[in-house]
Amino acid sequence: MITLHDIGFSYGNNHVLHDITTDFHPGEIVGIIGPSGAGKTTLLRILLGELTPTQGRINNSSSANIAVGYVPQLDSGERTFPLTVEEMVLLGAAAFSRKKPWFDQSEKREASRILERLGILQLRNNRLSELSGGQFQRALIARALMSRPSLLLLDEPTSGIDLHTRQQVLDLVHELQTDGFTIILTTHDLNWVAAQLPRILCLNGTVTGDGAPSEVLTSQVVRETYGANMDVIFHQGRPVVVDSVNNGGNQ
Amino acid sequence: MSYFTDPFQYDFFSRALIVSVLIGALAGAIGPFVLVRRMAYIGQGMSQSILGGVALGVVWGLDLYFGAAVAAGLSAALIYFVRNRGVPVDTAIGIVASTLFAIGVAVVSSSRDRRLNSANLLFGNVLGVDTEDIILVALVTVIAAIVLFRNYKTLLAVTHNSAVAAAHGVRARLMEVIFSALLAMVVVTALRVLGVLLVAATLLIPAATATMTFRTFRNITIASICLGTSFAIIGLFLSFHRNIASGPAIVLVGATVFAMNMLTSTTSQRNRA
Repeated sequence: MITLHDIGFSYGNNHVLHDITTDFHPGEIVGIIGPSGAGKTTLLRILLGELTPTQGRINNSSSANIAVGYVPQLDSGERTFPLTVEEMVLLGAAAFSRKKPWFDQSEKREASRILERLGILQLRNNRLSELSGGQFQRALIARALMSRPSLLLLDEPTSGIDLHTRQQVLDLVHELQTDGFTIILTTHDLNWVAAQLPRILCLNGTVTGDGAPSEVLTSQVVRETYGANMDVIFHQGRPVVVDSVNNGGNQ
Repeated sequence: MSYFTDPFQYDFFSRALIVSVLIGALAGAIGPFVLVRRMAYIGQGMSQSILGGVALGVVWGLDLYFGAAVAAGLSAALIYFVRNRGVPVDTAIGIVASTLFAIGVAVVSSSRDRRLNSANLLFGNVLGVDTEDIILVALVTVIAAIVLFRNYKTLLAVTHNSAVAAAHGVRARLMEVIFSALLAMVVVTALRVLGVLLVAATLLIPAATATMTFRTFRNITIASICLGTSFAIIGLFLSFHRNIASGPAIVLVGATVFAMNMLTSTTSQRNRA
């Protein structure tokens, strides 16, 4: 289990995060939501070890270091890179692969197995620039899996892809959770996480809500998180956030 | 056949050929990384910057390569320093490279030292290649080849996405340092044959030509090494027979092949459409 105790982070005098206390259990899936500038990416970078908190501490109940697989936001720069899908996926193993310019057959077999699992084995010799948004998202997840992680961090996995692909990505995320991965993802897509994920962490500099969407998503929490008056209605037992009909508009 | 054998009557040609082939291979190997990182400008900037170090080094009685290496390191440090003060990276490179280049031109123009021939420093001169150059370039090439061989995968991972590579356990900062060192090695050792103004072209043209033809990064790198070597050999013969500076000759051969490849690719794409 990963536990965050009073985590804070500042860029100079700009306090981005403060008093973040929460924990992530093995095998669970958590969606971090919040407006732009809420500190979602900063929190993700702290979990990645890329940033060191300026206050608080992170505890890991496991004696071993947590192996993290990271799936960044869809980036056009990455897609124009002259790599095939298989080459990019194999790069997930670069840190522990042998010190020679090529990958072993066992590593190639592992990459093929992951690509097949994600349904894009037939694309392995395609260049990244030839992939659709959904296919590229799967390739990024495949690269993360190639790094043999126990924790998967996905930064905005649903942005820039269509509704059908978004559902496919979600199905895949759930399948990976079933396989035992701990998954933490960030998203702007409030209703998507509310409908699909068992736990959400609402963030706006600090934690404004943490728990099951049906319990956490109230008008008050949405206001504290987004600074906007929104109504929360229930549809088929699931919370749905909509524009307020009383005094709609931002405060 | 005399076209190919005559030049070998002169010792300097053999020496220049060895050095050119080694530099062509080295630049060809590093070139794809420079290309995909969109670092053409930093290659150009670093190569221009070393003129100041070379000129001051010669005037102060130091080794030419020592001055070049110090200037390459200094320019990288200054670019980093200026960039960290909030100046955009292309502006930082432009200011630092132009300043160090200007120092070099100022020293060269006011010096009567024969070793500071501006045309040779700017565009290369095969006549200046001696045995010490061969030893140095061979040594640097072997070191660079070993470093690249052992770190190819991690360098590629960092080049593609540094944050992801670091998250997956790659020592990303170390790889950045290694890459900068490899780039500096190419720039400094290519000084004698290519001159400071044309090094960037030899980094980019073989890689850009290979990228148009090959799909995988591995094949692009292999092709870029072969092309870099070929351009160096053909360019050197051209330089000898047409009595033009070696640097421009090598670059012009590469540019011609690049243009032909581009036109062929465009035509075949149109035919397929």
